[in-house]
Amino acid sequence: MGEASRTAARAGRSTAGLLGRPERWLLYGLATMGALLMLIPVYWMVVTSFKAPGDILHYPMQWLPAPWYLGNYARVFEVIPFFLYFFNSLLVAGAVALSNLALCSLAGYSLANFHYPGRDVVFVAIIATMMIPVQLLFIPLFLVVKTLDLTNTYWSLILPAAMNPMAVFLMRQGMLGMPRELAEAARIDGAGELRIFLRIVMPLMTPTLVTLLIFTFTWSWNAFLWPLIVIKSSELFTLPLGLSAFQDLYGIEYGPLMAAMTITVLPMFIAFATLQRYFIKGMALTGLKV
Amino acid sequence: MGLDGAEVPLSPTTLQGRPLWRRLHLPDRYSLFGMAIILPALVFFLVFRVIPLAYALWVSFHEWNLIRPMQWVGLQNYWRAFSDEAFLESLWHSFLYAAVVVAFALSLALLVAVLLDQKLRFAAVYRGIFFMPVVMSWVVISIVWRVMYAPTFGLVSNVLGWFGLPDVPILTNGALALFGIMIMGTWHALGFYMVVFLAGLQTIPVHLYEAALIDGAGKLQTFTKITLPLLRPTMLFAMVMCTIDTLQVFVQVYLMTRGGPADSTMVAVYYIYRTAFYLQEMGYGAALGMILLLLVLGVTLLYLRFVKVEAYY
Repeated sequence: MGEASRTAARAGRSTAGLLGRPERWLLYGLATMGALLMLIPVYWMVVTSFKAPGDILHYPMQWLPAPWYLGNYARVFEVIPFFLYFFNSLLVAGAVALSNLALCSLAGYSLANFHYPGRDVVFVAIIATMMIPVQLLFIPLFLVVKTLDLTNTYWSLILPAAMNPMAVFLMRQGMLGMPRELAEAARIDGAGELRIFLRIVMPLMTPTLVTLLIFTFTWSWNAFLWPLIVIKSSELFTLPLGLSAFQDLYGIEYGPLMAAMTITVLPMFIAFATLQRYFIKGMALTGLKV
Repeated sequence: MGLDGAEVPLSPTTLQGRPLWRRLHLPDRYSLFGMAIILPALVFFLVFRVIPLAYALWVSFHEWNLIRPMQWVGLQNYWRAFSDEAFLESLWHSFLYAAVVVAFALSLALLVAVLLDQKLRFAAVYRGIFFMPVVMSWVVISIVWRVMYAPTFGLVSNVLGWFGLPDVPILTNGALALFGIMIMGTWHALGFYMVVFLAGLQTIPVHLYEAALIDGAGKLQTFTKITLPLLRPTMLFAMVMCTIDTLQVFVQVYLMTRGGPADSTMVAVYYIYRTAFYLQEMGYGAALGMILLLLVLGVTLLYLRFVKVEAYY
């Protein structure tokens, strides 16, 4: 379906124009109230990160820091090698996201567009493993990683997450809904299969790829338990490990803790805000069916 | 589940008639390309999913503490699980958590999605705010909420104070701790399923709404007669995903209460983790993992069946 026609149709479908003024105000009121409730924890985190140590424990609480105190942020960089953890997280999550994009778009294309013996078996196996709580695999996975002699390395964080079954599933669903005419035309013109995939299929899949990028990057950026199991040396810590260690060591210092967390989530907020346009479209294109 | 969504595309080999190797049912060059490009993903899939899973199954029939050699005990670990009251209770906590969070998160997510679908101005801003928790790490979320729940200076204590209610320490109260974690879980899950529902709403054909409008259907009627039934596949997807996800509840508990007070927030995955990695009972831990896996699988199949049957009424 053409994207333009769908959007045009949607603009016409809304009943919003028929709503009376009081009803619109009610809708805005509800949405705003919900949004404010959702923001409370984030607000609490940011505001606490700017409060002086004495003000944090103040009762009743102060809605805004008075005065705004920057010492917590200075303290973060003083106590933990924040940039190192940040770099580790970026390296690992970046590698995981890229390898998922490469491996899973190829696999999804294969599952959606080709016929060969065993294809459906592979697909069902991939769906089945989506249901396995990953934590349950940690025991044997740890032993596999140990056998490969990879514990306490970046590889132990990247390789087990390099192919996410969920990502394969999303790619396949997205590829099923892709128009085939362009690829067919190129094929008749004698273009190689790899060329068709890179030049025609991938650009068509941009929204789904962005969705996948956000998902896999977020999963890796936020992963905690697996890194906790395989990483022992603190110079390989990712941000969640660093934060957890920081909480264990300086748990009473709420200000610096909140400051560290604010800097941790900021890049994710910015990334999502920038990409959310594609993201919603990508979600819609995957069909969202089981 | 459309396994056969793919069609055989026009490929040069089929255009040129059927060569001998094709009549022998050997894959042609086109299919070979398809098989080749899935290989890299399959290697990772085998090494990091299939082998560990098979290995876990194998270990679950043994007694093993990582130091002494494995000892075959047959189904003994599984029998032990059924009389392990602490494990059964942890299962109960996980399912209770999942049931409450799935119910609240999904109904609130649907509400917000329908609300934001009404062409509100600044819809993107609202959407972004509701989605915020999804991109936050569980470590961050757990620490923030732990501090919010802290007695005397925490946000919750302050709010209770406004209404003249006594200051209840939520996370150290056996009756309230799990409840506190559920609220946090709902807050976290809501945004993701809002996006799922928003995407689902876009797949409903516009002409149905126009027809309803012409026929003079009210807004509530349009919602219950058109939106809800047509959203059923999306709803199923959301229910399956959310259930699988919430049954895995672990990190929050680990960081906020360590299963306490008095095991009142001890959830299944935490119990398994503790059995395997602290008590070093690998065999028993693996068996417990298998049981949880079967339960998750069972719940998913139940959903699929239930909703499929309902769809044909």
